[in-house]
Amino acid sequence: MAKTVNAVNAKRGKVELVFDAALVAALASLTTAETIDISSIVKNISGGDLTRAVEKEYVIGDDEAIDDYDSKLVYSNLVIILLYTNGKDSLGTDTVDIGTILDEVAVYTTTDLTLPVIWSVAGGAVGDEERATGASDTRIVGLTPPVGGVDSSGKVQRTLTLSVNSITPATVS
Amino acid sequence: MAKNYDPKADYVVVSGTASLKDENHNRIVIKSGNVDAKGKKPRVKLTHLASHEIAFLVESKGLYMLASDWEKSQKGVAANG
Repeated sequence: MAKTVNAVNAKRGKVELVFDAALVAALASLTTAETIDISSIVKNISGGDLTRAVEKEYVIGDDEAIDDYDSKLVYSNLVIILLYTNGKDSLGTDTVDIGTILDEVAVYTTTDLTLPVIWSVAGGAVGDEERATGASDTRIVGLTPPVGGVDSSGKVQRTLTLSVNSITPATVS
Repeated sequence: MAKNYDPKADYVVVSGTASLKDENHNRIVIKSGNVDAKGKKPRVKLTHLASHEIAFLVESKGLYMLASDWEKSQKGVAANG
């Protein structure tokens, strides 16, 4: 018997993609620069872990290491798993088909396109904690092809991986 | 909540980082340390929020202050400092 994965969790957080002016200029299928709520098709969001490199330097005759703290913070890739109806979901003012847009952004090389993400695991209501990736340094580094038949309603699943250089925590208002 | 906050009034971000939507539905982030070209804190309108939501953000979260209150408090700091 075919296994059925769980569909989108009803208590999911809020996830938004920022389609900025550069993205609109680059892609013919977009006309509106806006922040699009993709919560309805996000199955899971993970990553963005913060680490700071610390180098330990040992000097002869001294038992304790000298900690050399790096001033830079490093974030792990953000991984978003999408579960949607292939070619039929429409989001935002331009009725975006998310699969098509992501494919186009991923293969576009003429200019440096960024795809910032704003998400709130708490749900995105007023006062909730929220996180936003950098507006100029969030780039697609991985996009799986659609995997069909992952749930009983015939939705497809894709995994979007984004490289991020900064994440800003904020309060939703 | 002690006070009835007017959504049409001007507010400033006084603590942490606020994430709010502008008139074009784009989310903008304002940090409490942000200042404009004149060195003043940017004023924001919270017309999309209800009075009780603003009260929550002002009084419970300490995120915003009424622009007039904030200026008053700055004058106080200057006079005492």
